[in-house]
Amino acid sequence: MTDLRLILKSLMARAASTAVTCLLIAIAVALLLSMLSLREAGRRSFTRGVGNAHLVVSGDSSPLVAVLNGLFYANPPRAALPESKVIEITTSFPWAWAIPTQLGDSFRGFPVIATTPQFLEDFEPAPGEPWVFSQGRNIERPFEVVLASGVAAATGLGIGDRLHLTHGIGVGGSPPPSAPVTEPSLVASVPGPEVEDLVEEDPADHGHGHDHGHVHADDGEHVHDEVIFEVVGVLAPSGTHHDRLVVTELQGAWFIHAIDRRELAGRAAPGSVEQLEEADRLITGILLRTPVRAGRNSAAALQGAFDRLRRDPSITVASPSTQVDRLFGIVASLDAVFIALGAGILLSGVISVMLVLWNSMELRRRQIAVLRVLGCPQRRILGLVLTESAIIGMIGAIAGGLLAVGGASLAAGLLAIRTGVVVSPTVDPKAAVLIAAGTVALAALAGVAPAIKAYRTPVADNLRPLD
Amino acid sequence: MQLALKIRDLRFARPEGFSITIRDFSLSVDEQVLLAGPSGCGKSTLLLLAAGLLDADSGEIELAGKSITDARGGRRDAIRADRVGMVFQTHHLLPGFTARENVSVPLLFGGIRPAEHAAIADPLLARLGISDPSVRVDRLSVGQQQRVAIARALVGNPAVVFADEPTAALDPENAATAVSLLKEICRERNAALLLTSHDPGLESAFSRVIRFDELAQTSEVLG
Repeated sequence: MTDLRLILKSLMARAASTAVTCLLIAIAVALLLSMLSLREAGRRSFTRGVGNAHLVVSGDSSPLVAVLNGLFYANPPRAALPESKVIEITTSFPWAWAIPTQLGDSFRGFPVIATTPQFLEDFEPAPGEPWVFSQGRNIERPFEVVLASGVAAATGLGIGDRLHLTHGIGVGGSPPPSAPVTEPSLVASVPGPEVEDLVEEDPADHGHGHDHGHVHADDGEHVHDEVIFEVVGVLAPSGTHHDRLVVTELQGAWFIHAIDRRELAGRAAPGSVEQLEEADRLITGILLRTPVRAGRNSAAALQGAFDRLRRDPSITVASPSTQVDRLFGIVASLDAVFIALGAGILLSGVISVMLVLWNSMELRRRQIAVLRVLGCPQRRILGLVLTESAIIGMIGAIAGGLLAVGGASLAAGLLAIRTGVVVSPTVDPKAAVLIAAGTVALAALAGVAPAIKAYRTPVADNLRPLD
Repeated sequence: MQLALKIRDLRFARPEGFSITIRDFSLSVDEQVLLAGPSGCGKSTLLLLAAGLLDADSGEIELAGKSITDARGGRRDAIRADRVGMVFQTHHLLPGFTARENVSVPLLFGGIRPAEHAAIADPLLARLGISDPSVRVDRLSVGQQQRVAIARALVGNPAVVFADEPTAALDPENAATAVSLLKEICRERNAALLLTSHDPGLESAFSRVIRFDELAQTSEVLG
């Protein structure tokens, strides 16, 4: 017989209330740990997800929105930049690279980025980790697409498969009617495909009312089923939200929007990408990187370039890393609310430990009296109850830790599916130990009142014969 | 002659009016005494006073030469753990624990290492007819449970065993067995026995029988 055995038996004798109390504490601990873990993981993921871009330029209303739209594909940018502006920006400074992008289309809810092949050559989805092709090759010609790993895995598409793009960025889920097509490929006719080759008859589509005067509005969706795109490459996982991208060549995207735009204006659709006009050549953003010395990720010239671009009122320029910091500054107060919520639940769990033990003391008066008769000193009774209380806290803390690991992984999985933000939640051991120790201490503290009650249990009065 | 229990000028009064006064009482280490009296006369109160579980208003109680009335708190608990074994009318075993674990509790509080508990408890349980010490006490019969309680009272080799109506809840056969075993093992272990009972049938089993009203003056009989 040991003190611990006495305590554990006592806990097991009240298995249901012990389990509920432990669960309450576990939920609180899990919530606290998950919040801390996801906050850090989220920040890491966002910081990592900006890749190696130093600046983002777009027509968005604020730098934060420019980054969220341009690099995190939150929404199609509201305004486009004309090609002349793009040329002006890209030639105004000796950039390491400048990659134009057009966002606003999607495929089965996955964002489509229309860009140049440079996007898959120079832009790194995570700093120092360039894109890797698991199959096929980079986009070279219009109407070619490269699928990031997440898209390939979710859709089952591979090299040679064909698809239609959807106007607007969907929220994911069920595939729109633009599911992969089975018609023979017309891609062979590019560059310079003829209208009659590319346009498919679809009378139902003629009546759509999207405002193509804006490059991309985020209201309804419609399928660009006039043109078929072919998968030419599949990317290996990068461990970032970029794994949800469909990358296509810029001219092909301009082409399908030119068809829509001209149709709306009552004009003939362009016959090939060579017939695109300046008005068709709109882009929604530019990713920029300043030259840096080997092994570094920032340049002294960056601030100067940033300041110069910021003076242009027609564009919004943003430093992704600064904006991510700002974003986390904004959500920090929300974190505090969740952490306070977790602390509140922890407190209620601790109070429930006290109530459960307090009530159990009523039922255990006889047992305590017997222990006293058998030579157990009062202070040892005090210690037994305090230890029992602390053990409830410890079980709760351990269960909470496990729950947090599972919960955070689940939350991370859901986050990846719903938003594409890839987070790897890891519980900070220091925080985990601190929370666990705090929980055990609080639980032990909750046992003080019941322990004093046990300490004061009158022995003689509780040894009367049982009925 | 070495005394297991010595009471001198003891006075105890409950707030509700009941009081006990004992001028002088002693029990030698080899004695086995039946304290007879009707239910509620104060026999149990005397045993609780003698075990240091109630505080006397005045007087002195010594257990094997140590004053329990002078001792307080942990020291009093230590004297009780070392020198007293108690058996109650209800067995008061810890439910959910095995017979061995119940018998080991006084060893735990007596500072005996847990590794030694089984070696001490099991032979005693076997001596009392409990062949499986790992059986949970709630699965035993009432008679067996009382025998486990006897083992628990004696496992620490006390100087004196106070048995408060230990046969009241047993049928005559089990009662006779329990008293017989209690007497035998107390003798084997050199423990004095003070057993209270309202059952006149037990008087023949004891060579010394004391009537409570001859021993103590009480102001009011408990209801």
